[in-house]
Amino acid sequence: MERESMNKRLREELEELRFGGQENVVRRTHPRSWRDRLLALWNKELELPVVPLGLSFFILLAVAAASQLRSSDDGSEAADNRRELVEVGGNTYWKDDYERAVAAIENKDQG
Amino acid sequence: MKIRIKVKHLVIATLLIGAAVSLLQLVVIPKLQVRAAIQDYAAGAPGGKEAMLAAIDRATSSQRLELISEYMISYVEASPARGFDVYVGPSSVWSGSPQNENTRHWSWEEMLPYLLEYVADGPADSYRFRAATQLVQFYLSEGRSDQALSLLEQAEERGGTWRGKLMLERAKVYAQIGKSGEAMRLIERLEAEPASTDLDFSGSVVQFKAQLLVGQGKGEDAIQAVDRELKALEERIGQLKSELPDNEDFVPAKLEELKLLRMQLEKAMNGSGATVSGTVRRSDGKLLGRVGVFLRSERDVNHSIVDGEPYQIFTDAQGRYEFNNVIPGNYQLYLGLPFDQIDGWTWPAMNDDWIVVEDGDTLTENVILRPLISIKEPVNEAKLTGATVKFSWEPIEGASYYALYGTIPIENGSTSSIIEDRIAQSEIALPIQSLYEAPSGFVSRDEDGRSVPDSATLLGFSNPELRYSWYVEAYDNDGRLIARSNGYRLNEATMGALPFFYLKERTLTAADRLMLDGRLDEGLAEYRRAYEADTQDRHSLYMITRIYGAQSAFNESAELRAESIAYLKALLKLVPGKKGVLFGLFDYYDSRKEWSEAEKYYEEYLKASGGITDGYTQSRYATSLMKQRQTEEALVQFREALKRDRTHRFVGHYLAAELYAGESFEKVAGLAADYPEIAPYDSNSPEWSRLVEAMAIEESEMKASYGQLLKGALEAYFDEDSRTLDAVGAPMLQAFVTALRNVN
Repeated sequence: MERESMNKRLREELEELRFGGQENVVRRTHPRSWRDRLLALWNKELELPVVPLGLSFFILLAVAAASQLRSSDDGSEAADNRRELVEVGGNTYWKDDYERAVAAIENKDQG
Repeated sequence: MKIRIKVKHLVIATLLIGAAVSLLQLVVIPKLQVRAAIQDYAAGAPGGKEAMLAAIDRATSSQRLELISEYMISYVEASPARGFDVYVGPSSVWSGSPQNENTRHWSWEEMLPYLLEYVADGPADSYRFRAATQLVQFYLSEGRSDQALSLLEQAEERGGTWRGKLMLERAKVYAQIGKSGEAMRLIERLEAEPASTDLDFSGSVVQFKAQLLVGQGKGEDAIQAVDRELKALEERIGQLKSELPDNEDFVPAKLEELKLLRMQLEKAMNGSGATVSGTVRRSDGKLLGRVGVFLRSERDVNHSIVDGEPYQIFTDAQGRYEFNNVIPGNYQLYLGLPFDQIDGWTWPAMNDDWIVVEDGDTLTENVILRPLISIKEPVNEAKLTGATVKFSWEPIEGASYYALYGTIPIENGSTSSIIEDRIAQSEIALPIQSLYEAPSGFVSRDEDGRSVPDSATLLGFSNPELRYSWYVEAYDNDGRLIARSNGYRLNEATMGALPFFYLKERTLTAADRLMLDGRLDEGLAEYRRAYEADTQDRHSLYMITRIYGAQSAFNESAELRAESIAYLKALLKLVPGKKGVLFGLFDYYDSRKEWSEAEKYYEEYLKASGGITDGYTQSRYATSLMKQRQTEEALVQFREALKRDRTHRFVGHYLAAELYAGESFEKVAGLAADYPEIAPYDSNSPEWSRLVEAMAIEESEMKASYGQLLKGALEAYFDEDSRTLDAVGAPMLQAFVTALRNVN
């Protein structure tokens, strides 16, 4: 009973409305002009696999990051490269060379 | 798993990512690269230079100039006074700011286009001035003086506040290539302009102008110019002080430099400029191009090289240098070298290598670097236990004898002393005692506000725990140094064996241990006890004399000294012919005017040293003879000694002896001019010839009594009669004896 009256009321209320979009619908379902075809392509839905795509993206990022990291490594290595002079026994040596030479002598003495 | 996405969204997303990537690529990454290049370059990383060049080439034009100025121009010194790794002179060697080998050093090929670009397009700032002067130095070293001049002229056009300085540089180039007239014209133009706000600039102009004037033989004008500038500078300082009363101690370096220049000009009053030139090369024939050469006045050699010193230059590609318009005076040559030029090489310059520049001289002073002597034994921390120590090294061609030095490590450094002089061969076996008793230096430390000797260092070479080292010097027939074993050894090939050794022949005694603990008085008591128990105990006896010697060096106690004499004599009995002890005894008796004893020990000293003495010792003996009124013999000794000691520090005594012997003022003034006193550390070294000339004038005014007055004053000096010396009665004579009292 109630359902019927609801139906009736809906009909009454929609009586004034008429569907006029048939052409549009046809154009979309069966595009004929270039514009329609392009529009169809523009709105086409694709299904993309997440895993391979994500993976390749990740690899790209990793490569970029690695190259950045390497160049900053160079910088810190260089800071250690600053050599100091040492004046000892009347001579002037590079400190690292001198320490290495002394260590070599002392190792030989012990060995 | 899959996602669904519309084509339009995919396209938009791709475009966005693309935009982001290109932003990164075109803006962010270049910025990062520039930053990385700056970091790498500043840290001296390998490849840092290449990265910097790439960054400069990629940068936008404004950033480009900025990079050139910050990381190229400011890293290269146009002034030879700075920027070299090592500075070497007759009496000192020091390292500049060490650069990272070649990772930051720009070669001329690398810099040239960028420097030219900066001079052409850069703002008129200090960097542009530096770029221009760097280019000028380069062109001059290539012999392209025309290019140097036109570059400066071009730079002056947009010079801004730097125009005057650029013009002064141009004048200096003209002077350097012998066109003093052009140089003077530029200086006159500069002087006609309104005064610069830079306090130093007009002083620099005057310094240079004075050189030019001396070059023209117008010493008087030069002095006047300096005086005017000094007056102006002092006025401006006064003005500044009243404006800024907080800066009370403000004294610009230029003021000091001008005062020194004035003193120098005064000495060379009527002089004309001299030329000093030469080449710098190695003994293997390699010419050293683009090294720094400095002609430094005796007033300057006691400090490191500064920009204000007038004679500094780079050698050209053939290693040549030339200084024009040199004001007469005493000079020493210094070099500025990069590490790779000095590594393994040495410049055998000697302390007393003075270049005496006189009016209009044309002097050639060539510099030849020699390879370091390689040492053979003992090396590499050898532990020596025998009663003799053998030293050997590579023989040097042309060496007539060698001198062997030992080095003792002390806190924060080392002290060296001669172990054996005049060694004929390239090896020597020494009794270990001669090392133990080598006259080594010692350190003092502060104890309750007074200096006391650091007892551990008094042990010298007698400490078996210490790591000693050694080096050797080679001399030719004329006593000129020709090579040495100590120097810069900066790579595997030049490092060679390490000159370290231990003397493990003896063990420490109880007294030695007290000394090592810093308990000097207890140590002395223990040595005394040991010596009394065994009068043959050479080590204890030697240590006693050493402690006395060190103590009396700090407090001039006649008592201590008298006490030590008995021990010195005992040591001499135990070890006859010890030179140091013999001279010490001569010195003691000489100071007490016990002439016959003094004479006896000097003779023994001479015998012990094979008849060979040095200028100082001989001058001391001659002075002793003079005081004994043995004037003739004193004169003979002085004349020999003055030839040996090129600083002529005892020339005053010699002149006194000549005057006392009755020589005329005129003749003595001539002798004074022949033996100018060189006293680098004393800015008031007496002008002996002037003092003598002044006495000559005084004599002509005072007439008869002057001879008596002179004799009386000299005798008072010989007898150390200070009351008479303080009131001589004739002002010029007074000045002469006052100068005599400072001779030592």
